[in-house]
Amino acid sequence: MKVNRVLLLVLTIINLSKADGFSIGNLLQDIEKKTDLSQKTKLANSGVSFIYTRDDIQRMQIKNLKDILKSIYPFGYNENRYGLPDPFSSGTNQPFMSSQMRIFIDNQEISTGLYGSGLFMLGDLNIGWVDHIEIYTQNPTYEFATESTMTLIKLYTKSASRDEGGKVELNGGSYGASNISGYYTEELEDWSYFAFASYNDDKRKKYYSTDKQVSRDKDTKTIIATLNKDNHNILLTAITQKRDGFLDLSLDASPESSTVDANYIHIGYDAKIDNFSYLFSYAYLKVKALMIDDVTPISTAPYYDMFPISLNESDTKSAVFTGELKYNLDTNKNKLIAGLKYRMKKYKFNQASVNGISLPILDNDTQTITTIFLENQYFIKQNSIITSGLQYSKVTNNSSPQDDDLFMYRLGYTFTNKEFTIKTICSHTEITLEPYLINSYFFMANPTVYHKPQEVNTILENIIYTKDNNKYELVLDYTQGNNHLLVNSQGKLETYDKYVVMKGVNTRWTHNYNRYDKLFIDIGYRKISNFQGKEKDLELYTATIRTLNTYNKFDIFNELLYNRDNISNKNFYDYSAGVKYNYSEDLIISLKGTNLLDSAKTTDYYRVDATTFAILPPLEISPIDKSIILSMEYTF
Amino acid sequence: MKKLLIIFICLFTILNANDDVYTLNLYEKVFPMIFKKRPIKVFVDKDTKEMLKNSDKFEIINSCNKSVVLLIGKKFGKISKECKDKPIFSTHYRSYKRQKNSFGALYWRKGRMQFKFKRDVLKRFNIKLPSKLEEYIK
Repeated sequence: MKVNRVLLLVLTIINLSKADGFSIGNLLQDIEKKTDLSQKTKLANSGVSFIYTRDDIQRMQIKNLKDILKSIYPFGYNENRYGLPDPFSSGTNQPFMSSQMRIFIDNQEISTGLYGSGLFMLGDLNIGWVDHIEIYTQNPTYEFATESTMTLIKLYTKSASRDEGGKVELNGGSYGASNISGYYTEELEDWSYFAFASYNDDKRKKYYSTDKQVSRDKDTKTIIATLNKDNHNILLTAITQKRDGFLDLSLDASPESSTVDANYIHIGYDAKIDNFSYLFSYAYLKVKALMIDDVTPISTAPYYDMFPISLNESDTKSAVFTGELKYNLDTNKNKLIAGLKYRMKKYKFNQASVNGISLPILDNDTQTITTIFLENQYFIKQNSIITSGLQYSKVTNNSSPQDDDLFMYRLGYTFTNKEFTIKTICSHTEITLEPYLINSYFFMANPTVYHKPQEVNTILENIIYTKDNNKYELVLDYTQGNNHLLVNSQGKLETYDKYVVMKGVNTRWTHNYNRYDKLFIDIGYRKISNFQGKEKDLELYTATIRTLNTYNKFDIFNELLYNRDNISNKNFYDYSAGVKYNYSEDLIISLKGTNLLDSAKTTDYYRVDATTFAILPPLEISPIDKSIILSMEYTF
Repeated sequence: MKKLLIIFICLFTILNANDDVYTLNLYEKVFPMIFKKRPIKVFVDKDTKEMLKNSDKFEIINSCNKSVVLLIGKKFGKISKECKDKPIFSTHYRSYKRQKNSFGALYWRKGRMQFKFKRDVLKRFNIKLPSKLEEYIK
């Protein structure tokens, strides 16, 4: 009897302590973490996604997109011969090869008239204005992009509803790089606004090629602003960049001087009224490039002073007008979206000359794309969904035979229960030529003939198993490319007559030790046949290990990326680490090191001796510099 | 099968839940610690009404009168005479700063949840906070 009473007393005490056992701090963190905005914007049934929450961005000290893209399969992050962000580049002369990586700020695509995607403007831009980031691979949806998409990158701006107030951030680091940025956001009576401005003086590691220094430094001024009211959104993006042009078109990869100056502006309006949503946007890009090299052009046939290039000047401007109307319909069993999109790209070469000789001015100056799409999610049961989509695009180019009818489709099945999510997605994508390639004698082997659209067929299997604090993921993908554009021995693009086939497997494990401490591991293998026209299959091995920890006022981040391929047979290690000291709620001091072992994956840039024309060993340069950055953030 | 459907619907609801679920959880724990009456009679704005309508800890009074214990929200339009001297719990920074009767607030600012109480207003309304909440008095 006595024992029972004691037991009852103990149980009562336990119950009482449990009843009052909550912590206000935990409840507040529940609101912050579990209502993270990525929970609201994440696309369901969209294939493989990489989500970086606000918390991830803050604790990983993500300063620009390349901090993230470098660990995204299949190719990570890369820069081309002009030092521009271009993940699909392979070190050749083409100014931009990643047009199908579409990048968005909120609902609006950042596009450019000549090159398609605006990734080369945003890929290494300060992203202090971003709340969270979503990256989807393998043709994820037709809902957003007007044009063919292989990778969808969505950057979401901070908003007044959560960030009201301001912030100033100062950075300084290796090679003399510095940056100042700030934002202010406020809710007015009916409207709210967010305004961000930054000045980046990005000094980078210098390399030497034939005893000459090559540089990728750049100065960037950025303004990102949004104005919102209910479902009405206005976005303004303005960027000016003054870059060193890195290797540019220099035959021996050692220009005397090289600059690429770009001015970009985007203004757009999107809204949602009942079941309809619509969008209008305008983007303008002006690029001026100049390269001087100390080589002597050959005056005899067949070169006629055009080769090698000692002086290259170009001055281009382009504009993109986009309009779209979408209709959403939700019924018991279906979630349907249909849309009509129209885009017109106007472009002009004010100047294009090689060695002082003007290149012929092309007649073509307009590309139009009219797209109609239908996408549906059919709920067989609440946890069993068939996703299907069809898209047709009509592409026209004036003064060119390159008019295309692009048919695309995707079909997927998703099953989910408490622990498992299984997705199977098949898709077919067709890709037309970007305007800078139309009729271009400079970049195309056969500029005046019709090029069949590139075709990409993918099959994707994504299995996710979640139990307790663990999330395990298996991704299997098979991709087949047809009519692939291949860089030939003259550095020009031509249609490849073989299939390019990529097979890949990735396994991912996320383990949450507790509320603050997280471990992420990704191991991947990929095999590509007929890659860049080579007979030997390319095999890629990748691994990522990342930890996020919090200890008292310190947030600690560690990341190791491993890369290896069977061509170079080298092991590459990119180790990054960071520590944030939260001195107070409003003042944070942080230190971050990137590629600390100075052995991150490199890109091979070809070189040819400008006198003997003998092939030189390629320059091996990593797009990720070894660097350390010290930052101070103050919110007010 | 029914169980599976219920689990899925619950998961779906949780994933699609807005901040309200977690904010309500905090309200249901905090306000009963401060105010003794059950249910707590409140006059609220539109957003808060949506959140509290299914809670058994609160009773929403549509026309503000003497029985109301406190006001919760950011915009109330014209407040009736009987309610002009009632304490207000603000759900927005500006309301917390401008309303002289705002004794506490929960709102997003600087990317974080801000949870605060004003010492002088608490004193004026003779509101005594439990020790658990004292650290949030500014």
